[in-house]
Amino acid sequence: MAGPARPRTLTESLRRWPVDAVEDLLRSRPDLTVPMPRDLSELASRATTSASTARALDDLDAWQRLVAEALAALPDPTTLAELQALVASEQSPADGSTDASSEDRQDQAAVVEDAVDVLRRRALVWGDAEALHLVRTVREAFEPYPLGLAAPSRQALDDAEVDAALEACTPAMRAVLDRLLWSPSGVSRQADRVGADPARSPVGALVAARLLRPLDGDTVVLPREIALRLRAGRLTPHPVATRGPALTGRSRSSTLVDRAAAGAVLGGLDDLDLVARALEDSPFRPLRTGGLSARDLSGLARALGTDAAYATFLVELAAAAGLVAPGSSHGVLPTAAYDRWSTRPAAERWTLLAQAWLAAPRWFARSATNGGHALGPEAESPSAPALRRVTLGLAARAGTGTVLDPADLGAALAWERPRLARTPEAAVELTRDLWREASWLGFVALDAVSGFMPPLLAGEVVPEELAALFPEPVGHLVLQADLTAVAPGPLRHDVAADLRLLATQESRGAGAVYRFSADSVRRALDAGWSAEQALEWLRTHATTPVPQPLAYLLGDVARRHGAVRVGPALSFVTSEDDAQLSVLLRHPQAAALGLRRLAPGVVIAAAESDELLEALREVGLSPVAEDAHGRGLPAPPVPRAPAARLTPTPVPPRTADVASAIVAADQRAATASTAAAALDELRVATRDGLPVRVTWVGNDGRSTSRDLAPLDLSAGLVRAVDRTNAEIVTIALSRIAAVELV
Amino acid sequence: MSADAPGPLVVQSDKTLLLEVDHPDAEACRIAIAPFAELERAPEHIHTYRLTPLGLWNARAAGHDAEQVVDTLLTYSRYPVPNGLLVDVADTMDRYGRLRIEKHPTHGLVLVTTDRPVLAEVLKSAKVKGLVGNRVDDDTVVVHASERGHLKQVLLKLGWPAEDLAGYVNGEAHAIELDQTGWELRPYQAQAAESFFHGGSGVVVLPCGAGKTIVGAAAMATAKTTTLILVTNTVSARQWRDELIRRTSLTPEEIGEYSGSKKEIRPVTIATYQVITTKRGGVHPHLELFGARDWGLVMYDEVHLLPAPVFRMTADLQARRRLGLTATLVREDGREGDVFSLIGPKRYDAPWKDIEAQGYIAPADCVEVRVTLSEAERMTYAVAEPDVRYRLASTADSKTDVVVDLVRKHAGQPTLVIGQYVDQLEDLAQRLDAALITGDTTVRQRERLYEAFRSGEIDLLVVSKVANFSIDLPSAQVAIQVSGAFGSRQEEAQRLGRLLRPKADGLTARFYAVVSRDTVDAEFAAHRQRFLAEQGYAYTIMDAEDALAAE
Repeated sequence: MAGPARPRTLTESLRRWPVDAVEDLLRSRPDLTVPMPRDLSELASRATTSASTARALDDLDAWQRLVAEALAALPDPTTLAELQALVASEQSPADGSTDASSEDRQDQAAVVEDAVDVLRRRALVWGDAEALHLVRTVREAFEPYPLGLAAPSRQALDDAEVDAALEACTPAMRAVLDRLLWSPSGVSRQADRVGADPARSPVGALVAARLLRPLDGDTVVLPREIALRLRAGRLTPHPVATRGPALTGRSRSSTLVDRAAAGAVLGGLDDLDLVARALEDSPFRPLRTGGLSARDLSGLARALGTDAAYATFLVELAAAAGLVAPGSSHGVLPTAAYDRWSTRPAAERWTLLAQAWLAAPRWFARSATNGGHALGPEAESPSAPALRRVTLGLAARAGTGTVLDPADLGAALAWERPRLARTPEAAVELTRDLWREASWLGFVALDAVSGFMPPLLAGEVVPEELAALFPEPVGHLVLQADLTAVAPGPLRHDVAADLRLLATQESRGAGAVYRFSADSVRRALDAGWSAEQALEWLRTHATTPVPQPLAYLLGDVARRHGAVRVGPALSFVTSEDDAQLSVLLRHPQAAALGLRRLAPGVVIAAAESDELLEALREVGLSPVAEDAHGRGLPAPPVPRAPAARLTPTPVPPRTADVASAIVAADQRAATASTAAAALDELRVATRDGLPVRVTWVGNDGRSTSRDLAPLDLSAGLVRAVDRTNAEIVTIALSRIAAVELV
Repeated sequence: MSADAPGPLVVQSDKTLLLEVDHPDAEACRIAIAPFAELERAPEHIHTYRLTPLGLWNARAAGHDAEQVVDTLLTYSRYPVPNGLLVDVADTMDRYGRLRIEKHPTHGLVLVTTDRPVLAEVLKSAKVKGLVGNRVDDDTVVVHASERGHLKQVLLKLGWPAEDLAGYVNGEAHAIELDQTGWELRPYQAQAAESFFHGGSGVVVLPCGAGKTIVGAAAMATAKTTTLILVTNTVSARQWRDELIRRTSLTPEEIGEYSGSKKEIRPVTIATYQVITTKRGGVHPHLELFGARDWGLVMYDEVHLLPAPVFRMTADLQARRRLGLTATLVREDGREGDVFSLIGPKRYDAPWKDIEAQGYIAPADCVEVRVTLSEAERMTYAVAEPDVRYRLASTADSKTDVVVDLVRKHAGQPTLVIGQYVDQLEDLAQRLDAALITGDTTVRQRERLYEAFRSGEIDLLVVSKVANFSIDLPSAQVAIQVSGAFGSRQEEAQRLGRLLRPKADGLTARFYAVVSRDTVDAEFAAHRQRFLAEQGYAYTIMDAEDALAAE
């Protein structure tokens, strides 16, 4: 940009730019527009911040980046010629010969000049060919060793000296040099002194031979001229092409490709509907870490009839388009936007999804790999939109209908934006994922670029010829005697929703097959339809007459439906005289009591039975209350207090009994044999089954005498049957006073 | 098909194809998709075809490739076809033929591959290991000759079906010609026989009454070798014999019967499945039949009823031509894959209604008569144990009463009453004063009654399950089904088949299924009649009172 005088700063340079050049700059570096700079000097200062510069550098392709790095390796200012000289070696001709013809050299020079032009337009470089200045922050970005070269040596060796010194190197020394070839500084102990003793180590020898230079106490560095000589002029370990690899492939008929793409789109829209309905029926709860569980996704995949990767993609896509979202506490649900969206024509629906996909700051494929969860945090990726746009842009440039190999596309991406994918292998990996998703969305079909890609990338709507590939929704059905309803095309949303009440969907696709069954018809009746309504609906929407079995089915299910009714009631009134109940229903309190006639002679109420009793008495009836079991309630009991607790007075024992007991005990003590005799008597009686009269003393001190028939004797007890009332008594032998045979 | 007009076919994502029958291009489309798509349902307006691996492999076996199939689908499809489906179709078809069974000059039978990883994969399977021998080279491995059929079964299950190019043994030659005096071979019968012969081995599916026996005879006349025919029962064997004598140059001396009562092995031998599968002391004594002669053709009647042991035996017959004949390929035990691998792919198939339209089968009216059970019967049913419910519902007296009324309504027309529960049938036979045929009826008695029915001497027969298959009653005009086995689709199809013989006077036959309302009887009836509706026979459902009042 030669002007009256050379610009001395970037700002001055910018001031000389025409408006469209500034526009260009802002378009290529959109981060500079927000917030809007007040004037050019503020623009310049923003453009030279390290953050903005870093972003701008990331947007360069591989060749432009190389040229920028080369400029960083050269002093500031430098000339175009010097730059070209440095870079010339990178451009060895294809046949590998070191001689370049003058045309080749001119081409090389032109290519470098073009790159510098781009850098200048992006405000990374300013000045003219005689005084090129690299913006300081750009230089800093490449530090410490741009191109892996040390700073120019103060006393550089010339080529002959270098060659001679290299000649004299031992293999060990060469090994050290090779290690430092692309990253020139190395650590060495006592670097400044090691040169004094060349024989001790290769590093020492190298320093002595001036092939290595000590930088400070413990670093040595490979001087620039040595490096360049060793590299034979190469600037980078792998050659950088001046232009990206050409993307070519065989051509397929674009009508075929577009139709296949439309087929994929239709399938995708249908699948998305299924996903939304599945979420509606049984919402998935997000895991605590934020994603959806793998089990839920595999269940969804089964319902779709595909694998978990596709199911994950659909869920992510729906979320990105705002069609599903985590609900308050119920898990992920379709949103109101989904309801609006599903009534739109197919082309519009797809456009929304495609744009959501392009702009989504998430890399969906990562959710589907091991350890990833749909809607989880693993897939966050701010660079995803740029990645998609650049890659698809490259593919679109190859032309619609061109079959492309994702590996080639990956290589092209690696050149176009070397910073978007960390390594070329990563670029190919990402491109494969992208290609797969693009084919699911219809950007790619039959491995070729479809006609849907260019307009969507440009942000336009689907052009008419392509929109025509989407079929018009049909609103009619074909009813058949095997109780199926076939939709010969995509059904209108409202018709489909109604039909789903009446029948179960069996087959999905461009058309649909639904089957009527007793269960499905019952569903409609439960939702409030009547059989007549259903029949009328079918007649209106079918192109064929309603088959007799279907009409019969509707009637049959309706006959049984609602025959049994269930409802709540708190209390009831029955009467044989229905007229009396009618009077009750006209009671002013009827509404408050929630009275309702259930059947002739039965009225139910939402009030307790005593309230109802009140109301009935008011009306002049004399009702009888029933309890829960239907038994008539007797008159309510007269209130009484519970029985008073009186302490029982002990009954004094009859003195006669006490006396005889004491005497008997005495006698027993005296004549143990009496007791033995009693026992013998008892034993005999038991053995022979003879009745005896036994007198014994109970616990309360009273003696009892009864006629007993002994049953058995054991363990100090005798069991006997009382002959008068057949009661079995057990008496302790020690209590027995007397035994007499009867 | 013009580029703008919508096509007749809708391709669904679950691999079914919906063909709109009324579309002008429907016929051309049907012919185009017949090689690779299986007809699943053929009700009145929209026929459903399905793309299954078996069907696609059938197409490959017949020489079609994936490009043709994809092209056909895209040409006739009304809407854009899902890409995934096309890829899937291509992939599936691709799997056929990667492995071939061939004859090697020195090693005999070998398994050859065009794709080494596939061979490596199948050889890793434990099941395959026992069936193959040594590796001949990287692409070839020896197959034990006796395991040819077994190997095909296993490979099919693994998803890598083998193409059997090892050819057939011609068998012992025997002169057989068709004798077309007084009758003519119908075009579809000739087509069926030809398709079979061209394919080598396989199954021909034709509805009841379409003359499968004649197709068998035509196949024999083409092969001109000794033939072994396997049928379901003795009555059927005798009928085959009579047909063959009538339609071909074979004399009674050339045809032998191998059944419970007779054991004749002749150039053409007809054996029953039952006798073949009898086991005595743990062995099948009649297996020797298969090796008794150098059979050039083995025919299986009613392939859908092939008992499992016969499959095993068929696995050993792979070097001979095998023809399967049936009206319904659907098996309740799901062994369709075995039919494919052991007998062969389907070589000929046509929807019933088409043959009807051509005038060969009588159109039939199907009516389901719903009988309301009495209070007492409903009570008994409600408190009964689940396993006796069907019996209670089917044999309710209310039902029997309705059947009697129906028969009286059609008095004079040749009528069959069909059921499963012998006590109910006995009751009916008594009330109707009709002859009864059950499993206990002797073969001779059966044949006598059939003859009487055929000749018009009697016009009412009460038959039990035993009469289901392979009896020839051309003049039956009304059939009343009282009870049947639990929901078998084949059964219903076979029963309707009894009526579907060509009628001289073009009258419409009528089929009644009497069903007790609100019981399992009605549930099973729905299951069975769905199959018939899918074949194009629409049912009318009527309450008993209406049915008796209608014409």
